[in-house]
Amino acid sequence: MQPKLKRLLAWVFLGGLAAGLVAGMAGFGVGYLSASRPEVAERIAVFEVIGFGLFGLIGAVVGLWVSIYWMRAIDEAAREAHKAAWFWGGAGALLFGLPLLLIATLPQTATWSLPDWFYGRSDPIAHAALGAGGLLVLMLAGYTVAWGWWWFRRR
Amino acid sequence: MNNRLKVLRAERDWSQAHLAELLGVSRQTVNALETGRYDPSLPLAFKIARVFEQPIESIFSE
Repeated sequence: MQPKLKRLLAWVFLGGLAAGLVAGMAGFGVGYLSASRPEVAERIAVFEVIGFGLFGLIGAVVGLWVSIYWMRAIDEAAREAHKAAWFWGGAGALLFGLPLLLIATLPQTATWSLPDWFYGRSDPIAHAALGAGGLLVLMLAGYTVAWGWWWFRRR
Repeated sequence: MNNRLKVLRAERDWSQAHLAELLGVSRQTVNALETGRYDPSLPLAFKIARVFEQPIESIFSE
């Protein structure tokens, strides 16, 4: 692996640790406020949502920047592997969501309930998050398999 | 597409890692090129030709 990619991985790791630390401290602060001064915690609740949104947005921008840097640094075969993995694995895995989508259109499924895998919640937002997360897992799994297969075929 | 990369590299007693360094690619990519399972882009093909000091058509064939 190129030294600059190793450096990038080290920075991503340290950045992840720093972000985790900041998120942990913020969570601790909010938790402490909720326990000691619930009226203040209630007033700043909306800022928690904004803060989490911003945190996620910054993470997405950083992730995109890292991806661009990574794709520019790797060689053409490695880039080709990622492109193939995205098309065949990522987009291909999306097709496996199709049966679920079709089944969901039937009235028979109206009474079905989803598992409460999203922090034990079963509200509409949790269900939406579960769907988005499930799709992400499906696409990442497909991506990984296709990427591995691409290199396996060219070993 | 066929190529003579492995032969040319062996003639020079270079390792895959050394050739990869000269070409600015990974060793895995050199391996994929040598086994004919990956066809290089035109810029990489020109680079390979420069490294081996041979015309492209003498390295790659259909």
